[in-house]
Amino acid sequence: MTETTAPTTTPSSGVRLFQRVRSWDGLGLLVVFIALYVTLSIMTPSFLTASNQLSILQNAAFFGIVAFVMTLVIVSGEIDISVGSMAALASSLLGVFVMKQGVPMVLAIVLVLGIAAGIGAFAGAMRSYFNVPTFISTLALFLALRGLAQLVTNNFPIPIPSSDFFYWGDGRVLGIPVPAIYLVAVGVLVAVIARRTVFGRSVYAVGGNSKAASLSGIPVRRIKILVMAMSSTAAAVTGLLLSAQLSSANSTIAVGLEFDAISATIIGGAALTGGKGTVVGTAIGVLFIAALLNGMVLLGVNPYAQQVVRGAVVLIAVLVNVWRTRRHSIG
Amino acid sequence: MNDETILACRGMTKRFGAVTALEGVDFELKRGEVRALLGKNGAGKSTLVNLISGSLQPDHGEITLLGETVHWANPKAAQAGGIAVVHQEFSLVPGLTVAENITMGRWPRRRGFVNGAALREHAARALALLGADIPLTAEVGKLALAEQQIVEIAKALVDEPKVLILDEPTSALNQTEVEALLGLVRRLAHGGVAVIYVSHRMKEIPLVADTLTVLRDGREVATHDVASVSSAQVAELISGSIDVGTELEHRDRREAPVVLRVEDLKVPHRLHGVSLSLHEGEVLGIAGLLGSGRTELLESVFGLRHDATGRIELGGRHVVGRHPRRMLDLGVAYTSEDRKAAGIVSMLGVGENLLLTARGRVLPKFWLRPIKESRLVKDSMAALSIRASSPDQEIGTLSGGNQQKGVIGRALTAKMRVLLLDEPTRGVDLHAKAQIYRLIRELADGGVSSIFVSSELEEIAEVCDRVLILRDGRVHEELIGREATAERILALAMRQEHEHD
Repeated sequence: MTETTAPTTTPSSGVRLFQRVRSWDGLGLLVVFIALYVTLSIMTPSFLTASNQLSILQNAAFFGIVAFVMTLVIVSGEIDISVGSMAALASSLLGVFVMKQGVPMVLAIVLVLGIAAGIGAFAGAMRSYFNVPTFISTLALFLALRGLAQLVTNNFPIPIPSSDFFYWGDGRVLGIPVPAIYLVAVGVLVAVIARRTVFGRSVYAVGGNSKAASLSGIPVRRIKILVMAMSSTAAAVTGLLLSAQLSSANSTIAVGLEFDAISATIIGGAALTGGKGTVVGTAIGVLFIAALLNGMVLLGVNPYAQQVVRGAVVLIAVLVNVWRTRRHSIG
Repeated sequence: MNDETILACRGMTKRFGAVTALEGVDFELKRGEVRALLGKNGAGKSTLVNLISGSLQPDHGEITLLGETVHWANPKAAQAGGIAVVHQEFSLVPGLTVAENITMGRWPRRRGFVNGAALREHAARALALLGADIPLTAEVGKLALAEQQIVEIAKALVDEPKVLILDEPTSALNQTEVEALLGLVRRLAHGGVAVIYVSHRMKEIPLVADTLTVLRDGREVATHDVASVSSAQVAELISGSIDVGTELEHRDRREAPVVLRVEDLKVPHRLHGVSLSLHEGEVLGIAGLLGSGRTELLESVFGLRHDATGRIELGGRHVVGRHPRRMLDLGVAYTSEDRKAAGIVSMLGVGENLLLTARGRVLPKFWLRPIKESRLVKDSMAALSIRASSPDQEIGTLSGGNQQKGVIGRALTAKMRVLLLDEPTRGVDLHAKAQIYRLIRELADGGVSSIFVSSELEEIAEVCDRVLILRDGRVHEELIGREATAERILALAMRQEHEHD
């Protein structure tokens, strides 16, 4: 990671800045990301237009919000693969509460987010108190929550008429799509949590060495539970945004959400072994995936081939991470 | 036949940079002989073992095996040549059977399939050498620790080695298991295998070994028949004459108020009613052999053991419901003997590591306070003289000594009043050791009390104001100030109890 730059002479401040940038973890990623942008701009003129960029941002929101929180999950040494199903359940529950039970919209949203947080906390508690790996518990939830969503809706979409809520879900503010604003807001929020709060720093300590963290007096269990609850809440928010966009509650949405969210985090440099990862890295990862998907659509790439490309990108990202870590540990 | 020399090492020398780990050591081993290899940590025992078993190559000196000079390029070559090592850590796969583990890496194959019958036969032969009765098809993970140790030894025997090296084979076993294991070793020797037996447990030596070699500071000090020396003489050979140039001044803090009182602390099979008082600004040493309950004592006080019973008072107030976070809130910190696994968070910076306990205690619970934090970290790093390029340098990239200073410094940064230090100088170079001793003393001068557990008796003698001797889970003697010399501590720690209950 840290490039060994031989300090032969006293560097000027400009050189020092250059060295700091050179030694930055995400530099390689940023270069690749810029290269992708340049390539796509040259290949399709419509890529770099303002409206297309906003649409990239809007689409990025539908997995980026989850990806930001997923960064905390992965840094803490856990994983959440139930996010797609959680989003579908959130959407379905909203439809049932509002359209079938007559619950007011705001109350329904609060209820849905509360239920989501509870489900995430459950997975975290299973990890903390019964030592069930989150890979297993969220794999179970991956299936169960999707099934539950289909159960409560009979697998039929429930149309929800527009209301004020949907302006906030699907409208625009100053020409910027609301989901994009949510994306940026969540990104900033998670970055602040990760870097500026005791909780955020503790997440890194827990993921880096949970035994040492525990002996240092960090409430390891509480932190894991909280992180998992945040993750499923972010998934529920995504489910609500998707419902707003579709004007319906739907149990089939957000299939593959876990893939894009985890990919963005991994591309951003987080290590699945925990302790390492940054929100800035994940932000670049989110934009990278969103731009890549958008570019491939504009270029008319066969949708099946698109999936192959997405898979390959994740694999390469992991290989680069491993290679970088190994070079670091030798040097 | 019985006098045939199997292994002869001459002038074994090994240096690591400026440090001489082993210098001109001669070592000879006869068929059927059990040789105990003794010495303090860092005396050169493991270097010698590593040279014989091919993990290291000597800078000077030669090894002859059955009269032929050998040069092992790696452990595999030594193994093929007839040298087998059983390391302290098990290398067993819990999910495989006993037979599969014993023959691991050499599973006999027939047309691409594992030949189960041949495999079991090899394994049975190795177990028979030990005269052990363990079902071959049992899953290793379900065996008792002692049985796993036997499987580990059988694994080393499958190639029918001429020399078997046992590195602290009994450290995880209880008394009866130890006796059974010693019996197995005698039996092997009787069958003609030459055994090198490395152990800290002195009372095993007369039971198992014919001869003993003592190393100190990389040199061979003495080689004797076990029968011809007393354990006190051995203790003296091991510790040597103490010559500490900058001896720290001993203080007597017994008049100071008691900060921590432990009463009748019990842990099943480990501690049998330990009571002690720790005074303000006192450094209290706990000395005892491996398995005497040293670590369990610290763990129990810190609330890490749920099977511990007994009363703990802090500043005269009874602590109910001990657990680590509560103890830290009360100003009691603990550092584990396993720095890598339970001390440092290696991928975080030195500064972050120093702040782990302080946050939420001397620092606010929610928001970070960057300016206050960086000042705290700067002060701590200066007080600890941690050598790092910046507080952001990953602690895992520092030397062991600086890592350890970081772990102790975590308690310092959080203004802890009582430190429970388990082997705080393990794997740390001499210079850093001296710094850590000084640090503990300086903290004590400032009123911080420490319980100092170490297997290095010189440092206990040097650092501690008062020393308690722990044997078989009980506190037996108390040595005050200058009474506590390394020889005395060792002699007391090794003293054999007349059979109790």
